[in-house]
Amino acid sequence: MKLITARTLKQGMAMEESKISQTYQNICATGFLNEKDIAKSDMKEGELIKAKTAYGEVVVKCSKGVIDEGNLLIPMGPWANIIIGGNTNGTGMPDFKGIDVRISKTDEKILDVKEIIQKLKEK
Amino acid sequence: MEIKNVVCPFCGCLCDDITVKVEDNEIKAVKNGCGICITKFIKHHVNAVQSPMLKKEKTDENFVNVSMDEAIEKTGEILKNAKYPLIFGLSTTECEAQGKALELAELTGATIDQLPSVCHGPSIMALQSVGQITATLGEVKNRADMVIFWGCNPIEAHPRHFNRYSGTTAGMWSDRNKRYIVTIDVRETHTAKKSDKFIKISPGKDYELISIIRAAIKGQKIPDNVEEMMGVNKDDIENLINKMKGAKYGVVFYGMGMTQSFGKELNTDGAISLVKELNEWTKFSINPMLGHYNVAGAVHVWGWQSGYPFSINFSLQYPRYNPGEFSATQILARKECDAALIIATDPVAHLPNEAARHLAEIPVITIDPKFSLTALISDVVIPCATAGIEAEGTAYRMDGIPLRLKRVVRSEFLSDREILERLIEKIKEK
Amino acid sequence: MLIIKNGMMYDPANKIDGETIDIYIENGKIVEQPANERNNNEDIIIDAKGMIVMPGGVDIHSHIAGAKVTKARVMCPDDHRKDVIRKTKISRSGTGYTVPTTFITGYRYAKLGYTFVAEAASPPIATRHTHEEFNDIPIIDKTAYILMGSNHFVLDNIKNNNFDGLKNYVGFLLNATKGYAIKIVNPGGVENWKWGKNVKGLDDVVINYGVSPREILQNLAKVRKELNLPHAIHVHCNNLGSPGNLRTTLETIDAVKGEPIHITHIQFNSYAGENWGSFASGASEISDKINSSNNVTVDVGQVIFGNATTMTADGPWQHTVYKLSHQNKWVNIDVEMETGSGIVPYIFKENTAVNAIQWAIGLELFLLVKDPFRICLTTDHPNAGLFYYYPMVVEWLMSKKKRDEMLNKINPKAKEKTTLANIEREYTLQEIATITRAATARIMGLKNKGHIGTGADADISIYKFDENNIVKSFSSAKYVIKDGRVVVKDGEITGTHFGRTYYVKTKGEANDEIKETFEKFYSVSFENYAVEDVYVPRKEVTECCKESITNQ
Repeated sequence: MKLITARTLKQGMAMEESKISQTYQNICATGFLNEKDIAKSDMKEGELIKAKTAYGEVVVKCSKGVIDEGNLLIPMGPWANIIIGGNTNGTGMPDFKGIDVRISKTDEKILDVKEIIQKLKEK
Repeated sequence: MEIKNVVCPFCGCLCDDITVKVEDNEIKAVKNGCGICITKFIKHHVNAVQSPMLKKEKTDENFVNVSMDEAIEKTGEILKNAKYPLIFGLSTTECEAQGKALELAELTGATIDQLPSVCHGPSIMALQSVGQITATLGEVKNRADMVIFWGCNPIEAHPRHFNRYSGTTAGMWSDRNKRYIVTIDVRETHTAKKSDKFIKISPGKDYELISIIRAAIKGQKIPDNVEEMMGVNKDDIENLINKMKGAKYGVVFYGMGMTQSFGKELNTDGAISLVKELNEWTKFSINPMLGHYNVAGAVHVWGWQSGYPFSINFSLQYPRYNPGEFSATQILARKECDAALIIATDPVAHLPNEAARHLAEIPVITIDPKFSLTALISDVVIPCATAGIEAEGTAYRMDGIPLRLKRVVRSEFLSDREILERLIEKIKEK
Repeated sequence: MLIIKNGMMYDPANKIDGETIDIYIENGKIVEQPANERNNNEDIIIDAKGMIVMPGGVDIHSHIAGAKVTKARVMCPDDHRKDVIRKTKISRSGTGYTVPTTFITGYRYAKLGYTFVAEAASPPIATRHTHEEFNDIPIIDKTAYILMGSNHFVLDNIKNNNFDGLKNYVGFLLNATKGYAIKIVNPGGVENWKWGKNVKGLDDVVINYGVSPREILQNLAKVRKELNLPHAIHVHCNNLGSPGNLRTTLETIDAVKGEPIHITHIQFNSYAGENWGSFASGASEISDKINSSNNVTVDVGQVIFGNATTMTADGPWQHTVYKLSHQNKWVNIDVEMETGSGIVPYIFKENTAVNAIQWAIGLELFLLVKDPFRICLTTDHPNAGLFYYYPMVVEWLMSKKKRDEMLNKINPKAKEKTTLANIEREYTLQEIATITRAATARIMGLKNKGHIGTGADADISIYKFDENNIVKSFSSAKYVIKDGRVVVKDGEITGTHFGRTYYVKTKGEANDEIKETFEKFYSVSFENYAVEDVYVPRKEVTECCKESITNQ
């Protein structure tokens, strides 16, 4: 699948209020998929999925979205950024859109921001 | 008390018709703004940093409240002792602060970068290779009879853009009926739904589509397998070209769909070149949908003070520019900087993990009115007055028009500019 | 007190031509020689023996600040890498080359001995930006001309024969933008360019408005008079750059029927011939016209070979330059309701026939116009040449030998298509002082600049003049004094205080009609349009009308 990260209205509003909130997590730790892809992966909306790229893996909540088959959309934010690499090929711009990603059902939990930060500190 | 014509400090639209109702130094109501504007004003104190604070050791769990003087003292120490400091952020604060940050970078031999690196850097890089054919937003309102949204979704990211400037608004010679609106995107966004035509393109194929249109305009044949190549059928492309050539005043708006997708600055380069070439037929302009409300501000201020818009290094006592080499993401990902001053941005939330990780290892100072995720791993956190709400200043709209940000409520804290001035003084003392 | 002793003074406005006169300065102004002997303990005395002393230079037309200048800076990082400037203990770092950054602009003008520079073209809605940049340009005093030749309210009032409405609007606009003068660029053409078209002559028509460039010029010239503005209308003529455009220039002068008019970078509008192949000099006709019309003043826009960055509000002309240039960058910006701009990097080459002829035409104009009080030294920086090279222009004017050397080096068409080779005249120091200081200040109506009489601002430049090396003499002043403070010594910056922003206050305010139109068609609120006082922390205001003094 291809990963797209993007701004959304709700993400913008939550961000402006507070990033250390359940609202922000609910909005940004979400993976939007085409309903056909949801059915294909034998999942239901609301369940947890693990998205994995060459740079890492993150757990987000599955949600139906207006998006093409074969694409996974995660709103911009710390969850999306776990799986995006730091190399910019000399352009300065990371690959925020278009990298390869695999999804799978999972029963691991969604990290909250404090846990994400904790992980940053680990070597 | 009602304060009218307030400028909203959120996105590149820089709407300046906001009315803010203030009582006892508290914002009670906001009129005319979009959802994000209202949230920003009304909740500006939510999750606010209450005091300057620092950690005695980076590994400490908790912050200790200190005075502003102590925070500035510690910050000055960190920056003075660093061999290759990074100053990053600044796209969401006002222009004088941006200028002071550059002065600080010059003083400390730092690398200074702002958000285009991860947003519209490719637009500026395209300007630097082929130029820019553009128009202020009022021109779109008054003249545009064709508007193309390519890889951008203003209904979600710039909520009032469509009504104020590019879609439904009525101007001197144009209005919604006279305007033919096209969205080109990988998915049917809300903007696509409000357009007259939606062209779905396969992800990562913008460069190909732009190139084919450029060639077709010059008389080349569109390949028959174009739909296979990029998900757009030949008829749609031909109709689009006819509409473009037949327009009296066409405008392309583009966003992260183009700058962040495969191709990046080559996409924007191609798009601007396409618009340049269309000008042999008719009047066409192209505008980047700058996201943060004062990205354009830093581009201008640093542009006139140093000659460069972002990714600037002062290690050699004069400004040097090189995206990639001096981009915040890369400097962090390559672990090159040994201290970081983060102002008005949140790299832990918005930069790739690989880059954010390095911030957990080096001394970091965050200047921000709210507890950003970066603040949580910083050594020093300095609260500031929010520009545009608690502090005045200039901001530049996405089309380069400068407006004066108002102060609607008072803050107990200094503005970014004042904090940076103090830092500069402190470092000059040492 | 600051005292300059023993210098040879060139103060054309006060008819002092090389006499040795001492200068007394106090509180930033020139004062009379004190009646009593000074005990000289606290005085600063500069011994200018063997040196020439002039008023600080006044540049009547340059592009140093504002939207298109910064766009040009950002668009050409390649240009900056050639010319980097390290910070020092007292000065900031920056970059050149063709479009220097703001701090460098101030320092370099000061080193040349210039103390006042006019930003020649500011779009009203973005003049806040111009002022912001002014506040980052050290030492020199600045002012901004306000673009009006394709402004909706101007065109609309002329269309409706509403002269009073026009006058009121122009007054309001100058007050709101804190600008200095009416700037007209390709009148009407810039509006037509928004539909991809242009105007070809003074009686051509502006789309949707039905008015002509001739009407725009006539009306604005009359407005200027009635608003009592210190500087004439400042005009970049239609058809700039095109072969044969001398006819348009002559018509433009006639169109204003004796009202004062200042034509800028007139070299670009002094062309004979029908096409690039027959391109030739029209300098003789143009200078004859200037010599016989005492309402006309001009600045030349002299070409200097090498890199340049063309930037004007003349969108259609800039599109043409793009197609003629050696490279791929072109910027065009349409500015709502008001004006536009275009930027194209360009190189003037000695071997290129047209460039060589252009170079010669500029010098012809200087040498054929008889009254140095009516012609000014400019290069329309950075369009035709860079201000750091003004001393080269001075050398060509003062030395026939030096200009013949150049003439023999460059494309021979310069000799063939112009009369420059036959001109013997050499400028004197007094005439140089005139075209760089006395004339420019007088034409701009700056009462306290451009001369060293009592009451003038204490802006002085002191040079060591070597007639065998004129370029070196003027490239780097021995001393420059600004507001009575030494800012340059031996060619180095010694003081970096900030100068003042000059603007006018005249009669005119926004009425309901203006506000209504504004709210309907602009994309910003009317209340946020005018430039706030905070942007002019150091100012000098010229009151133009009795009424304007009470209009707060």
